[in-house]
Amino acid sequence: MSAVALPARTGSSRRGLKTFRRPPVAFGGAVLLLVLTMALMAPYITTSGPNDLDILGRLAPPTAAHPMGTDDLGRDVWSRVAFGARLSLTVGFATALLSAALGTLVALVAGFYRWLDEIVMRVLDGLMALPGVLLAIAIMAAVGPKVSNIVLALTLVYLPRCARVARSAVLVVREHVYVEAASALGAADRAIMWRHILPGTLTPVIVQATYVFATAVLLEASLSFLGAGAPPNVPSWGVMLAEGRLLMRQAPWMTIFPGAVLSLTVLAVNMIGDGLRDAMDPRLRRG
Amino acid sequence: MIAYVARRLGSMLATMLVVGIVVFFVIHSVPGDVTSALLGQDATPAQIQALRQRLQLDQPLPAQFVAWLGGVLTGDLGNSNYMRIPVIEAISQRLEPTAMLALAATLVAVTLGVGLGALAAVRHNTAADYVVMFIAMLGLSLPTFWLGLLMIMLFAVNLNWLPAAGYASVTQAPLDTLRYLVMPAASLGFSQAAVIARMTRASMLDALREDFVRTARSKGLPERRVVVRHALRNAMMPVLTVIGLSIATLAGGVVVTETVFNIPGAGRLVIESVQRRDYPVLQGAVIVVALVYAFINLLVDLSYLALDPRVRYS
Repeated sequence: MSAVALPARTGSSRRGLKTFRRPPVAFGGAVLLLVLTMALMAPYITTSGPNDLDILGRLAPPTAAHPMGTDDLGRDVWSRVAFGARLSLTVGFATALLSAALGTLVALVAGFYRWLDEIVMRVLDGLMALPGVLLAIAIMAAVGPKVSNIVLALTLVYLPRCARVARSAVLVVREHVYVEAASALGAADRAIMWRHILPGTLTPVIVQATYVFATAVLLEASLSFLGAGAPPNVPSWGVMLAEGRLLMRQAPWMTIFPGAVLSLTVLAVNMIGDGLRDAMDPRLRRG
Repeated sequence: MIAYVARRLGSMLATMLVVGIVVFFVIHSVPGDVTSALLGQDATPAQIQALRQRLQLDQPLPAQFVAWLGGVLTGDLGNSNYMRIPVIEAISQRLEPTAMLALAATLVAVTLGVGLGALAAVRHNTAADYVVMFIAMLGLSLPTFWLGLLMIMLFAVNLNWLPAAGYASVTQAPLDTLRYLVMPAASLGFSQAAVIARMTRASMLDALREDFVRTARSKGLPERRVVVRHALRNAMMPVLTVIGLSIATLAGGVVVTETVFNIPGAGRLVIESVQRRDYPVLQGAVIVVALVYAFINLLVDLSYLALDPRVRYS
């Protein structure tokens, strides 16, 4: 069976490079790289562990020894922020990857077999009718506070959104002549889906996955803030903000620093997402 | 038109059935028995058995689901295990602050979003456009609860202008209600304003390039009238869709915002019911929110008719 060639994608790699040269995307990329480095190097760039208690040094304002101050148990806020990045990035990346991969799979099967499409769409509509926070809270109440469970809950929240985006791409690609040709040549359904339809759906799904990354980081922080997310021993920006809320008058640094790093991280990913979207949308492409 | 509404209601029913199945089975997969949480560790086996029978937990799960669904269809969401009152009553007691907050936040989001989005489109590729788009990007990226905390620090703790937390009923002290709602509505509405502003800008840019706008200008109409009556009105359809969709995000945001500002609304009730393992209330609240969301989106679809006479539903 001869494979039917996809239309050539001229200049896509050059376009990719150009995208990262745009100031907002470059800024987003640099900040994200910085946060990633902070997460990976956390044990080497902090002077104490994120859960090390120092009751005598509690609620100390920022100093050279504690650049972001200490919390009500004397824990170093900088250390907790740096280690907290691990949870946020892990949850964001794993959720984006899983919901994009599973969403694309669902969309491929539903978009290819039309009889399945209506059923799958109703299920996705049902899941999307539930506010993300509420669905995630309900799932977390059922499965308990574990990092893998946060990823599971958030994947269920974002899978329908990714599947919707992938499905609209599948419906367009499915009608292309090369897909019809592959079918006429006797290609098996699975081969048509993987070799001919899947590559055409990847671009919008990758853009969507970037936004899922950003919103998953925010949603994890919200869940942890509400006490329905990170387990107690894992440093989390959301938990830090919940603790800081009770001591805003005495120790504003407990609220300001974790929130600022969280916002910067999400801002960086959103900027990359917008850049990718603009680069991949021919109407918005410049030059 | 009637056929369209009937079809949409049918599709809504199917969606709500999925919501019901998901919510029921997710919540009933909670490990451990709710009776131990309700009766404490000293409960005798006989007491546990009696409570299990009363809550129908001794029935198989599919039978429990059918009984629950039957109740939901007749407006009975069951009884709160903790408060010992019907779930509907528990939710409606806490509905006023949530409804007021959602309304005020939507007002902030739509006014700011449409206004800033239209401004950015009219001043396309100028400093005003870039500033608005940067603000919108910030709105998408700042967690609502952090923004709320920063507002409390500035306006309540430092300047002492507004109350830091709480709520006053609109039926007793309407002016106080406003004072209590300013910060929660602003922090919750800001992120949705960002989404609406981006959509308004994109949609307005398309509309401003249309022939009818050129015609309106060539007729000598004032620019303000061209922008508002011709471009903005035609750009509103996708914006309305985004406003409808943002209701779900807003409903989720209410849970967080009510926690930040200690507002005794339905959002707090959700968190309290998780902590108390009062699952009938959690189930009921999620179903009510999903139903409200579905109705609002139906209304949004129908509002297209009023907005654009070219739209016909058949």
